[in-house]
Amino acid sequence: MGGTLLAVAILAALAATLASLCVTHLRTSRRAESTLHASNLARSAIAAGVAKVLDQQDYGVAQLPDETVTIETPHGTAFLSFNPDRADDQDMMYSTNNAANSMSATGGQGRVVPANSIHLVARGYSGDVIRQVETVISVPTFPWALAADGEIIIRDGAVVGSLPEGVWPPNMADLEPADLVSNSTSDSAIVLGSGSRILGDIETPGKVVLTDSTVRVEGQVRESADPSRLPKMDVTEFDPQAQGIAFDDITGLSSLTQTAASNSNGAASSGTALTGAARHEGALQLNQDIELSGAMLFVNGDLTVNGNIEGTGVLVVNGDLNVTSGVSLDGATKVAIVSSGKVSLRGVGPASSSIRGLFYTEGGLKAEEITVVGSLIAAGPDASVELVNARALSQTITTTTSGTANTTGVGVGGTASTTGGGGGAGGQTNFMAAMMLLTRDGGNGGGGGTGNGTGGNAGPGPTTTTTTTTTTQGGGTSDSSSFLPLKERVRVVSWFES
Amino acid sequence: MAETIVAASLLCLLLIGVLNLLPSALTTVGFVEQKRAADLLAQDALNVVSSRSFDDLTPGPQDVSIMTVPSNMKLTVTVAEVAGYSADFLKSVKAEVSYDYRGKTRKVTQELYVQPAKT
Repeated sequence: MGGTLLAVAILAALAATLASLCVTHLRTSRRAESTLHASNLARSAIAAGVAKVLDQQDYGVAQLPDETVTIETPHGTAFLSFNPDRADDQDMMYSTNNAANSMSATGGQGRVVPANSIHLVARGYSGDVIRQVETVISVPTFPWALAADGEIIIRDGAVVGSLPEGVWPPNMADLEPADLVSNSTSDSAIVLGSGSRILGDIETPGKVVLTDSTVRVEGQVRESADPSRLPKMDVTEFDPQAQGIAFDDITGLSSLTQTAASNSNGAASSGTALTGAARHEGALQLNQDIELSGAMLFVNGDLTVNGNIEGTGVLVVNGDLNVTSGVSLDGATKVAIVSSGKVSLRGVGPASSSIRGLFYTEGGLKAEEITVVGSLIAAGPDASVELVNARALSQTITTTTSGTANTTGVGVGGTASTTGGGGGAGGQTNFMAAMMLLTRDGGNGGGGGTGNGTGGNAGPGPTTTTTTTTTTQGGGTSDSSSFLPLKERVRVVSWFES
Repeated sequence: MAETIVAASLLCLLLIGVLNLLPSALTTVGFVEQKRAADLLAQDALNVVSSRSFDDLTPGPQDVSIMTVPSNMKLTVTVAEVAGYSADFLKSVKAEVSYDYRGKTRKVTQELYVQPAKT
């Protein structure tokens, strides 16, 4: 009898274990399935949040209750909200759109949201599983320190990195990551010579050659990647004559003034001063400093500058540009250089020569013994870049400008339209965006403006006002996305799923 | 004698019960394994397609010949627009795996929205 009872007990235990195993197996499987669904839902909500911001750049800035993304599928739901109260209702962090600001902001649960970034938090619910995804999306004015359609050769200890906003002069200790991209498909698309240092990622459809062990790449090396779309500009579109804009014809240089001034370092300088729109027909050689005061100079030929380029303005060269100078570390100098030919910048050493701004060339770029701060773009079929003991540093540059009453001329707005007329009070300027717009619009914007520093729909940066002496009243329509679409600039910089 | 018969009967009944459980347990395990495999295949396909260039994701069926699909399963991945969103900024990738199990066709679906931001 006892033996029978023992056998019965064992069999009963066996049956219970078997049944329990089946149930556990089913439950585990169901949970795993729910986890996949919840994760996909949370990721989808993040994607939808990004899409909303791409479609409408100020989405979420006002933190309105309806600035919320909800996804419902047969497998579950997902939720993301820029509104703190609605996020609180779900017992989760709210998302923050700080894309238009050049200063960091405080996001949900005190998170620091970097400048020009979006902090997104989404939750996916499926069955009894909750998955949360938290990500930071960067929206830089220009995503690379150096981008070329052709090959990139870096040698003699050249450095590619980024300089934090407001930091000047460039200091190696302050450098942060910045990326480098070449669209060349060759086996030597990017050649990094001895002692060169790249603080960010390298990406190319071709191959990367690291010449020896002294080369330092602190980010990822992505070979055989998809080509990146670089901005394209037609230099001739910026010809004030072709555009019918009033300009000073400086052919022969007879109308230029010689100045004696001191730069921000207190060093005396003398040279050619330019204001407003100016045009030179044919090759131009300047054996002195050139000082731009919110000016745009169009040269329909090669331009050679044997001196410094100072001030703020745009140089458009329908030919080659050669700059040979011992450029001083003048923090006020910001230029945009657009060339249909080859750009050659030569200094006397990266620690003592620097130039800051946007450099766009269709014929390639060579920088020697100089620090170039801003963005370098070589966008032409064979536009290559060569850095020789030079530093290519990206930087978001802001400045404050003052509008002058009753001036008209170039005005670049963060909002979709700017009206000309009276001068403004000045405001925060995202210089890179402004220069991009300036070069793109060729001075067609309205003059003046309020310059109140508020971000707008179109531009990634706040409103900017630049005045020139040109008397033409423009249409005033500006859109930074015409330079490089927003969707080409967004980058996922961090991703955390729990 | 009677006690022995009762005990033996009980034993037999339990044995039958346990033996009956075995096939159902095996069936359940087999079903769960198939479903899990289908789920993971769908998720893999989703990840493969969503990692492609956003601009290359044209609406319609996607080429997933790169993936190894078990002989009893059929995989289809489609890209579609998402209602209320511009196709320039958001697309939906849906992976569907159908498989036969015990004469019945079963199906699992995974869906993911993708956007153009690079990583």
